Amino acid sequence: MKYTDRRVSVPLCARSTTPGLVNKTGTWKFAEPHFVDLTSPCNQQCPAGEDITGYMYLVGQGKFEEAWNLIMEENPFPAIMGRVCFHTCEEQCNRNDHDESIAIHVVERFIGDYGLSKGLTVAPPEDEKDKKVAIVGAGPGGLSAAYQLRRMGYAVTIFDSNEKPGGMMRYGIPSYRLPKEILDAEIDRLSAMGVGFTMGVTAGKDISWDSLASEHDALFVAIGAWEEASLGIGGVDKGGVFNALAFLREINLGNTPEAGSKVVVIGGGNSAIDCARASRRLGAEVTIAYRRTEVEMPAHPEEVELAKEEGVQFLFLTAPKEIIGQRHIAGLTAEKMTLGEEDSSGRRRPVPTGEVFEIQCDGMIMAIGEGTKVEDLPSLISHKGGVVETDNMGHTAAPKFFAGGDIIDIPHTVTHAIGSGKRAAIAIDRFLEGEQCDEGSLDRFRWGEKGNVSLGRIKGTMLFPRRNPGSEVIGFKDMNTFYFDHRSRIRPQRIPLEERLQGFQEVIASPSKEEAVAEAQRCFICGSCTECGNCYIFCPECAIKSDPDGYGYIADMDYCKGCGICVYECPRGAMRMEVME
Amino acid sequence: MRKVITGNVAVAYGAMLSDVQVVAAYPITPQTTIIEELATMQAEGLVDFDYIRVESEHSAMAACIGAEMGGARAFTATCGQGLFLMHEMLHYAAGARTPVVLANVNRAAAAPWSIWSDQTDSVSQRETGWIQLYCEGNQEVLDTTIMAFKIAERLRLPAMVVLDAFFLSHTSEPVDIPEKERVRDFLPPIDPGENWLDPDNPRTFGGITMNDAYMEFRWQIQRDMEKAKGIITEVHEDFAQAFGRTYRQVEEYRAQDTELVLVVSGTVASTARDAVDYLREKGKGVGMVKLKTLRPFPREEVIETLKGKKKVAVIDRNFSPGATGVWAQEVRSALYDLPEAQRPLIYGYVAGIGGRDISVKTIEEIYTKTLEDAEPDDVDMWVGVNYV
Amino acid sequence: MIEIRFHGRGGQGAVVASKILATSIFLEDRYSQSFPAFGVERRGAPVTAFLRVDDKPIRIRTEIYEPDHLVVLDPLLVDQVPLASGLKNDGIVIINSSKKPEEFSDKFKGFRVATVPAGRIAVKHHLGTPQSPIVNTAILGAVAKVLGVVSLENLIEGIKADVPAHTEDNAAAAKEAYEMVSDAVVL
Repeated sequence: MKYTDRRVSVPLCARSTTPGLVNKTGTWKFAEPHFVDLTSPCNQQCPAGEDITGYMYLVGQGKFEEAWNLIMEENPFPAIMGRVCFHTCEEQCNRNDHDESIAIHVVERFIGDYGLSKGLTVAPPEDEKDKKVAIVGAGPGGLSAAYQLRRMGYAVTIFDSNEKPGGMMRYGIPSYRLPKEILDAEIDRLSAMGVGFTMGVTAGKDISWDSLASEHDALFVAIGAWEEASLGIGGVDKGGVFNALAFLREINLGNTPEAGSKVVVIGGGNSAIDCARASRRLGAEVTIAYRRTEVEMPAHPEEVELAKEEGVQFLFLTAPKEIIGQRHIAGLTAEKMTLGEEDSSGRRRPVPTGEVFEIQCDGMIMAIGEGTKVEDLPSLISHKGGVVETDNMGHTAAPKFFAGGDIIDIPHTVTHAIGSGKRAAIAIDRFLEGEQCDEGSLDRFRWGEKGNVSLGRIKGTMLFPRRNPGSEVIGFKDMNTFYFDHRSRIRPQRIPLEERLQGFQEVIASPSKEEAVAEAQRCFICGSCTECGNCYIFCPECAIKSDPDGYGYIADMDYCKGCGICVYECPRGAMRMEVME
Repeated sequence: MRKVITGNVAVAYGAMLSDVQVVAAYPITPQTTIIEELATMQAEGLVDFDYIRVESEHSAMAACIGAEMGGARAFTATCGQGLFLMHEMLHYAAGARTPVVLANVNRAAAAPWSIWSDQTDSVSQRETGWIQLYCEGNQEVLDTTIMAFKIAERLRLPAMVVLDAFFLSHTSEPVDIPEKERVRDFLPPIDPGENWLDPDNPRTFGGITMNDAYMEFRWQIQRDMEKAKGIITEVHEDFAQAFGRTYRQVEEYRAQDTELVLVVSGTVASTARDAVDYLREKGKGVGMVKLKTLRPFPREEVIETLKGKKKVAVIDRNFSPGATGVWAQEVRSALYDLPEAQRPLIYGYVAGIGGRDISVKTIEEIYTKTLEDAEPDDVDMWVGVNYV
Repeated sequence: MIEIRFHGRGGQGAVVASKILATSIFLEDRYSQSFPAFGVERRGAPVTAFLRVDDKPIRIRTEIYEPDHLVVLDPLLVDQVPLASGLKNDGIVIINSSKKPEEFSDKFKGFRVATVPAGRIAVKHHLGTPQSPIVNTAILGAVAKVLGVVSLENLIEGIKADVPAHTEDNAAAAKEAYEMVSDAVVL
């Protein structure tokens, strides 16, 4: 028979007899994908509890005002933060394992400056509550608590013994790191919201604690650590010998302390660097003497680098022994140290060698740490070793007294103080609403297990929505970084050396919009769905669909066969396979 | 309307008159002006198609297949290297039974680079399941393009219109351009049948097919290629009726009364007509047979035409390294079935590779060698090679 | 059949000249075929184009090796390319030149030569630039007159059909060349 006379039973073109949807491949699976939204390590690390990945995403999209609002949920001072926070978040950044961490502080500074340049404000609360809160101490902790409580509708008054608010931000940090107009502008927003400031008043002295307590429904105490530590050596009372805080206060008041033309700064922390760099700006030759080596220095490495650039000399393994001179310092003797066993901080302890030598100088600044003065606080507030005892929400032992900032057991940084103020504000609100707020009750609103509480998450006002951000923190290995190119981080411009030493002009330049956006776009957005669409594209069963609730995608379990390709291809680790019961 | 146009413009007219709905192509010399001309025609409102810009010929064919699956009449054009890159998708177009029409300007293969004509690109696509229609003049190019749509769509098999680089693509000569309304009468709108993508009735097309059915699908392509011989003839007849121009899969020119016949394709057929006349004037007994279709190969007609001839000289402007010119292979294969007494001697000549001219003189040389040699001195004889 | 070979440079319009002439001849109910020498054309490079004219359909599809006539668009080619190669004995050569035909006697001994200042005419009609005039339509006027393969009227119709830009200027140039071209002089 001829070809043309024969027939076969198949159609002309291979074509399924039924729509593909008939085959419910979902019945094949024994594991199913979940969209999880894990916490990024930076968010967990941020002492202020900021949603860093959230605002990186928004800046990357050019949504600067939304990014500003997102920070303002947790922290009233993005422009200050971008300048003075020592950004330990960047040390945790997963991108460190890829190329270099995101310059988070640069992006934050951009957002803060954007808010200032656009005159963005936070509206006063719509509903005023009839409760009053006193904030004692106008430093970052107090301001943070005042800001959050005011937003909640409370009448808030801040009491502070200084002439102007800001605390250490004003009197401790030199303006080449934090220009005063930035500080003023960010604090002014609080006044505009109706926060009251009673300046030049010392609680317990000009106004009694009892009257403060009787006039307010709750009190937040954040009086800071202003007590100067002194070297236990001979001659500290001679002329030309300063304590760091006193020296920096003079500088920040615009005065010129007579610290000499050849200055030795004792210490290895950030205050020591501040004093040294400030002295350089006054025209002095400056040497920092530190008991251990550069490796053990607690100062931020970038600050050390800037100090070196500006001509600050370093004498390591050097401990002062005695100050020489008649009425005025003429030099000091010092002992050469060596490194011994590790101490409780994990750093190697300095051990004297017996080798003594002389250092010539006509000025000396002691920057060996600062202490608190908590003895004059109301007696019900318990303390131990100069530290007020609180739980992690800032409750003290005294009813309606809450505490934060440098007087409680947290690192002495601006950011930690802001974080403690926010936590206390939440606790005060709960207290005034008559709700329980004991240890752990807000843990589900923390970033990770160790991070701060997020107000945005408590209030559900996340501008970068996540489905169910868990306490789990995502690591580098949990992501598919194939999808990320390699690009170095932004290196912000610094003004030329000659200009720096002329005065107290800000050293680090602000990033351009393009630079900030490019840097934000380097961010992996670890652990969060950005709707990149990889799961949607890769699903062999077309089972990934748009989430009707607006959280990116969902998997249609009728057709998801549990192959796990979506999870593997998710660049951010925002998906997970779970074996079905 | 009659106009002096190039072969490439003739292709564009053919596609325009056929109301193509989708064009996807990638530029390559000497094909480029086909698409340029179509774009001009579209800009002038002579035709309304979607032009899909693609990054390669492979994608061009993939886009055309998709367009056909969407129920549209799709067209592309390429040549040489572009056709080679398209090769995988050529198989797919046939397997998916999408009647794409492709104009291939015959261009020699690299390396070394050549933009000039030979058929190696198109004959290399013999096994893809495409109908191949070769042309000898610009009129035939235009007419064949229109007929290709009708043939392809009736069979649901893709069709290739083949024209020689430069000898047709860039040569201007008078061409009769039919009225669009008359072409519409001749060529009905495409009917995709059930073989198209219907969003309301989703189906999987061309999905993996097990060994219990794959062979049946492929067998149908073979069966329909056999059917194609009859359908091409029908379309040729319809066309002659509508437009008064006659084409055949196997065309004889002064070949009935001769014992020695040249078998040719493409533009060589055109020049061979002059060569035959010239030789006849000199009293030589020679005729010519022009083959228009390589696939399906018109085996029965070839047998019928050549049986009883003494000598057949097949001129191939292509070659298959390790075998012979492709037309010679096909003719040998067909004629083997004849009883020995009726079976002519086959002289296979390869000529004109890479655009080398095949002139009346070249053809005379081939004729003379065929006449003088009692039998072929090799399976395959290359003409015009400068040996040292 | 008449076979004409055009010699020019890339950019002068030799290929288009052969195409215009094919269209013009076709308007006289004769058959024509035009094509470029199949090469990789570049501006300034020597270019060849061909034209066949006949009273019956033209079937031969090869290059022209023994032309009846030559049309030379760039006179400098005379010294660079063996133009007369294959030219039939009584062939006519039309050269774009302001010189007298006799001045080409060493190159075209025994052939008939006519000259026309097509470059000057093209410049006058603003065709191309003064440095690089497009001479094709001008020289076609001379071809119409000297070779008589087409009437001036049909040549102008052909120009109108195939030259969409500056059609009137091109037609005027052809007309002027038609009138200015020298007689074909046997050298």
